[in-house]
Amino acid sequence: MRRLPPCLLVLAVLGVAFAAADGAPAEQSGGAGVRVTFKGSISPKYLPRHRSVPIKVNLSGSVHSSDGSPLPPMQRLEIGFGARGALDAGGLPTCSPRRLRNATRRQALARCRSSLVGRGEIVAEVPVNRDRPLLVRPRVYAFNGRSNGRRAIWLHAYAPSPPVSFVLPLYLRRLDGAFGIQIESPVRRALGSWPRLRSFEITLGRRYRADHRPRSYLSARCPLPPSFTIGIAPIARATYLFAPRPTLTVTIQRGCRVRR
Amino acid sequence: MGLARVFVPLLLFVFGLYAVAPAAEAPTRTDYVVQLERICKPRTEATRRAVRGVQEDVRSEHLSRAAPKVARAKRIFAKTVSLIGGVPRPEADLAKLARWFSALHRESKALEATVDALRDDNIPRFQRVWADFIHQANKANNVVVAFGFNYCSFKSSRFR
Repeated sequence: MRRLPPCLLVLAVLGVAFAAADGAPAEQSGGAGVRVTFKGSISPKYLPRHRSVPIKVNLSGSVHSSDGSPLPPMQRLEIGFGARGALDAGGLPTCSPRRLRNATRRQALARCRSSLVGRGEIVAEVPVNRDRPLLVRPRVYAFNGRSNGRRAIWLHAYAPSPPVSFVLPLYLRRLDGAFGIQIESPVRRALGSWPRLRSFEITLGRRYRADHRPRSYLSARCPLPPSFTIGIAPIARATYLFAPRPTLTVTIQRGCRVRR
Repeated sequence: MGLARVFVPLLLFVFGLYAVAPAAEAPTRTDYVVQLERICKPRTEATRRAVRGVQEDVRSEHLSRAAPKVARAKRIFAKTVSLIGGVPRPEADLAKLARWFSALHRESKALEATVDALRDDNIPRFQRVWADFIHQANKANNVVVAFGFNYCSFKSSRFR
């Protein structure tokens, strides 16, 4: 399988320098009665300057009404990340979304455990009653997949009560510029016209062996100048596209550290 | 005659108040945003020009070379805060905007500390105060997220 080439750290504003904003609050954006948040982090906190090491990326976001009116449906969610790293799924088995559809959590794991690349949680709102919408909180597993020759991640969501099981596709593509990888998810097509995505939290990353050597689904480095120990850069950008509007973009900046 | 002497000026005063009332009325949030964006847009462009080359200066560890550029950006920022501070604010948003302006002043102080660290060629201090600046900028942005500002909110991607 093809390895997505590494993209070097692209530094913001002053290029270098920043203390880690690890405990930073989520960045926000708003407009047309909607407020969105986005937050992200990379672990481990300390990375080498010159060679990439396995990492995990945690991304989370939420959608709120800023004036109390019902939320418009989210059409699509796009997340750019990988500014200073690479995604490598070479030798990692893929799973088909057909094997995940209508599966419980246990069934999904039994069928596709070898392609597991992450986990998290989704909160969706079903407006059966305008004043008290039904909230569903399925836990999700992320599985490595392919769709029409493109790399993809299948988010399998399952909650026993109220019973919910669906697959949210995340299509991956390479980006030029500040972010190396873009995830695109047709949220509305996957969830249907009723449920509204309220929040998500997902951690991606996996170490595995392929061709008799250790590999990592995600890897990164922190290429700072010699005298710097901390660099702050835009690590991810989320674009929430609602129908018919608004389109809201949030970019988050976080620090990477190197040991002296 | 005596009554007329009292009432006519009183009536004129009352009608006069009505006449000027619309002009002194607090703006709506939408009007306020439009007014502020008009001030912020050219000043953001000026800031973008002022910090050109700073990324390379810092990356090559020539901090003192970056200092005058960031100092210029700091002056533009402080003047912008003072200009938008003079615009009448919507009644309903007075408390929120007061918090925003406090955050903008903290942001301005952090930027000043950044300039000092750059002038002193002090990399460890620069790393610390720059982080504080970004943190303050994010906090300020979050206070007025419902306003939907574009040029009046800090977006680092604009200065890359």
